[in-house]
Amino acid sequence: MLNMDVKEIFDTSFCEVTKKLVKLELKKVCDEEGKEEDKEKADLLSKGYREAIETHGCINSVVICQFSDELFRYIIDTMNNGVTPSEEEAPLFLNEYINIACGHAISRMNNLAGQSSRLSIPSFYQEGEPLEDKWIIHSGRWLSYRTEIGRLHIFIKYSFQSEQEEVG
Amino acid sequence: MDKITLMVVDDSPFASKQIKDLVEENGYEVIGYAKNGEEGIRMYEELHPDIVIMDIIMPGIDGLETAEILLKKDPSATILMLSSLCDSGTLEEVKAIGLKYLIPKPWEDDVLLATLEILKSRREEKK
Repeated sequence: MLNMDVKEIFDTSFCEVTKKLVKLELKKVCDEEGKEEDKEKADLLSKGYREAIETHGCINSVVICQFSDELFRYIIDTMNNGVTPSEEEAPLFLNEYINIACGHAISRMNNLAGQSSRLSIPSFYQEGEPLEDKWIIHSGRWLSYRTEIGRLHIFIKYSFQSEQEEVG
Repeated sequence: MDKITLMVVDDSPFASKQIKDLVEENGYEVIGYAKNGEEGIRMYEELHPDIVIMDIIMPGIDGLETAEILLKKDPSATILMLSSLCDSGTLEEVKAIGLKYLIPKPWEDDVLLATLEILKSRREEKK
């Protein structure tokens, strides 16, 4: 197994990028293994504003973020210089946020591994819209944060290509 | 003296707006904004910008492939790559297609401006 703490790298990247992009501090309130029977957590991914992204290469991962309504609006407005973007443009701002945060994390991991992983194009799901089947995963790692604006939950599942061993 | 003209190829309105605000305050002119590689290639042939700022991760053909196509069509094209993926492997891929610069997202304004100044000077030396 590659000697790196994937969860820690995602945690640091999300905190740094959120501070830089939208001047918001993420305070971690939960860092735990997700269990299949934890329905409350699993339900989180079926509601609210969500973004999902995959990485492929030396690290294969799925990252799904769930934003509270207030946090979603704060992020897209702040990234659009304080102006609420059109309904059509709003997902593109959140796509860029997750792309930059996950890109940071994957770049660090690629450098540590000395190998490459690539990011997919992020997928945005609005309130009430079900996730596609490929994102329905029952076990992984949860990182939950509060901010002065709202909450962010991040679900991560990953494996290293060299071993294809589940370590999430 | 005429302003140096730029074209931005990025699917993110955030990046394109931020770049436009920054560079236009600093003596450049953004003359085109393409949301993907295909549109970027068409727009480049029409506008002939001095410098192209290109994202890597985009729907359709990605920024590396787009840059490679542009360089085949116009070997004198000046392209600056931007990406959230900024590891040494990605930098090697950028170099392999003949480009020198890869700026990480989110960028530092002074780094982006300094890199544009270098590219601008190189263009002027070539003339």
